[in-house]
Amino acid sequence: MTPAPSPLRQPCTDPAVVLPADLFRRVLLHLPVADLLACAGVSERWRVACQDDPVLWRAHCARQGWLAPELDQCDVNIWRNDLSAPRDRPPRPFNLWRFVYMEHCHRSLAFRFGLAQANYFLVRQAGQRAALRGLLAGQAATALLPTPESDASSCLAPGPLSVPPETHREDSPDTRPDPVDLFDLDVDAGWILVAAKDSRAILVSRMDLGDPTPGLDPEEGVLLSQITLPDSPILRHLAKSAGGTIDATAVATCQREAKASPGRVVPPTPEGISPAGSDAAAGVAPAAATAPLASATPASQAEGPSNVPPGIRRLLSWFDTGPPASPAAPPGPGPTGPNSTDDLGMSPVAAGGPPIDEAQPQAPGDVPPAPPLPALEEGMPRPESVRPALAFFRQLGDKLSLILSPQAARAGRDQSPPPPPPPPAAAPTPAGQVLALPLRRAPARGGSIPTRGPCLAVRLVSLDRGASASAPANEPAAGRSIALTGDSHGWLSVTYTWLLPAASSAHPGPAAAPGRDLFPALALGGSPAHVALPAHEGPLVTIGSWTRPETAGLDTARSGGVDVLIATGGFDTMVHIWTVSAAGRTSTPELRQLCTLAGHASDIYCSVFLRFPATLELFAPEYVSQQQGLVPGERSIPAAIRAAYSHGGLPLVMTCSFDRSVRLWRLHPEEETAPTELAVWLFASPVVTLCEVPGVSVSAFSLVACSLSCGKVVCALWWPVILFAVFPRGPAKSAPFRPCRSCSAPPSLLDGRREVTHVGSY
Amino acid sequence: MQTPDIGNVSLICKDGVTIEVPRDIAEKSRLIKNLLHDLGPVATPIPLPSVDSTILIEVFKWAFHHRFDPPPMTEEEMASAFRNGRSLRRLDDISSWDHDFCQVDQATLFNIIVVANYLDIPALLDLTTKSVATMITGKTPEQLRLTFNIPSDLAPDEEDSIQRDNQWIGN
Repeated sequence: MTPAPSPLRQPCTDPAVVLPADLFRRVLLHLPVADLLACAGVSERWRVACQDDPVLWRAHCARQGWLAPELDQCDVNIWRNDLSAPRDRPPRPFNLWRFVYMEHCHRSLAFRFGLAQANYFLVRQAGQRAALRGLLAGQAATALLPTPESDASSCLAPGPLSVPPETHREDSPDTRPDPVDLFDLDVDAGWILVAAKDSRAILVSRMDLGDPTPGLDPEEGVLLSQITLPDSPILRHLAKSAGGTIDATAVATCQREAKASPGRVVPPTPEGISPAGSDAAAGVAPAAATAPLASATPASQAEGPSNVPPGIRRLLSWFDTGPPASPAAPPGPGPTGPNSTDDLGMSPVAAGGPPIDEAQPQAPGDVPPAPPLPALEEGMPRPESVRPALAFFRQLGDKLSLILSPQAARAGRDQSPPPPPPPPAAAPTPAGQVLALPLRRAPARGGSIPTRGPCLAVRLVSLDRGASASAPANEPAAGRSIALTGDSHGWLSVTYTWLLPAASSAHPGPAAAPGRDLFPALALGGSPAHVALPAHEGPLVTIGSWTRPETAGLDTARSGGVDVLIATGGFDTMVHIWTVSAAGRTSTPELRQLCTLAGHASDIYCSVFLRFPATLELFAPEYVSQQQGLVPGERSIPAAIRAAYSHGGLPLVMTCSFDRSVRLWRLHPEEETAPTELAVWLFASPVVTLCEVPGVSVSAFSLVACSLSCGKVVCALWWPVILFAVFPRGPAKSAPFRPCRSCSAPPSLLDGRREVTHVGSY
Repeated sequence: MQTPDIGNVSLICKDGVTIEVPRDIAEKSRLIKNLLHDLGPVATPIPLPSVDSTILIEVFKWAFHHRFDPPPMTEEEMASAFRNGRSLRRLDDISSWDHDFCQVDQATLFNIIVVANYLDIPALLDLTTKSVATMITGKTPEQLRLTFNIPSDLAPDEEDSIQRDNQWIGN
């Protein structure tokens, strides 16, 4: 053998050039995703190979077990336009599998750690560690741990993410979670149940948010509206939990003014504006938490609506006077960081701004620049036709009142005049600040419910709502409730308790309710009031509840049937249905598993019970590749399904999953037969959340599904329904709700350009 | 005319060099194995018009070392594993001899990859691509450009766009 010299005299050492594409892909297949992301910044050829190759990313998805068979058959024709790129640059193709991989990582870690931007594989890059550790701000030690195994053994013992329950000490301020550690929140009858990362759910009385002071009307719901929860998961779940938003105060204020002057929404003039107090600057939030509504007004808005966030204010003005004259308004702050704000009603502090300890008061007249609203385009209704949207603000006000104060809600429904504005408080709120929920202070009542891993979902369900409704008007709601929590180990914890008003001068506590049945917290099955059981073989991430409409508030002993249904969904692709039966007020409720909804092929992201009849306009056909059970294009409900939608009928459960399907199930709790799957909608990408939205017409209620396709909120309602979407990093710099040009989406589809994760309704 | 040795296979490279190797070594290549299976005993050298002799020698050096390794996976197994991403092993499970074998200049290594793919030698292809991946992993884009002498043809706004796209997952 006589070796010859290599013909490559001046070899090009760029593997992306020397190697054919399939061989370079083989090289890239050996790389972790963090390195792929780094490689994308080498050159254009590397970028194409690393970012735009679906085969590469499909292999990575397969390695993680994230293959959805439907995605192989999905003809994705979506070009994600980079609005910041020059116009002469061709758009980049949409890599569905890369998107699936990234979104799965993002959502999984966000669920587990409450960090919308947590990504474990990036820590492999040594150069990124310091920055990432700084970003996580002390949470890196837990956020960067591997995800818990989803086998059965992990359900039996706390995993690496768990914090032993005995480590929680109510009297230790260091163990109190930061607001950013919260995953979920539910509000019922004046009690707040929050899910925390440190393996517990915290039950807080509304009265514990601050000491009642003269001038504070506890029925105003002022305190709750001042919660600062900077992390976006809380905002999402706030939006999900029946309309409770950070901007509750502002919109409720609008509602009162709207009632005062029908046909026109005029936010009130601020009162009680005061400079920043030293307490807040020193990080002492609870003292200011007792301030009345008006004192929480930023001082920067003396010339205009004060309590209304910029997004709401511009919406109001838009609906009232039409779009702005110049559509080419300067864009607002872009999504450059986790502190980006949402354009529709998310105040800067609420949408991720600094916590109360770091918040600085705004200077007078320092109004933050607000992104412009999109100009009306062809085909969109004119402002005159969207006037009915004002009704939603009224509905919203009622709904919020219902959440914050049942008595106020009842008063609102009875068309009683709005309560007088509270007088200024002795300790006014520092201007320009939103007060923090004083979680660092141990609540006087309530407590924490230990969970095995980070608590991911909570639900507070009243068992006898009617009893509280019949209580005296000046008494906060009290009654039996069960607090359901789900953790990262798939365990479902049920805590049966009495939720009683906090003792105060106005409400001395249980002794103030003579003649009422007071029972100690009983067990769900004989043991003390807390029971936990393994429900899922993966993280339990969603809990939905349903109360029989006709028996709600009545003595359930007469009904003899199922009172409450619970739907839990986890990452094991299963949705379990549980029943909670309470035959009477003196008996112990019983919890048992009714059935399991099996059909999804991947992680369950959301499960909701339908309360209202749905229409066939549920999902726009542009984003639904297949419909089963329903006739496409038909706007009325088929007879077979119409019966199931009726009030008082069999409960319906709608679930969405990572397998990009939304499934509708009908339960048969009385016959104890298997559930019936009524319909399946297949989307072009995973569907991450469902939201029930009341429509503007008399009986039209529908759902809004949030799919990951092109950042769309796929809904069924017509334009006047005002939706807000919570983006992981805020909306785009410009045209946050520009209809998608590539698919000619109707106006009901909101294009966020980025991935929409959760939606809510006004 | 001399009778060809049944135990050896002659290969003629692109540069005219004839290389004679034992048949079992040559059959590490699925391409040659199928050729021999289809043609039977051949008297003339098998032409490999796209293979340089230097690279072929390196390939057979590797084949000699792995002469008694178990047979590789079948085509279907490979395709299935590749489709499901299971053919990927750890980057650090390379033996010391293989590691030393891959310590060649980048051009030679890339040519070995091409030849291994042409000759259909999955194990060698896996080894060499893994070696290149080892050179890539853990490096920043700037370091990669220096390593492979790659000029940056990305516009500054594109680099910012890439960085921004990757920021949302935690950068």
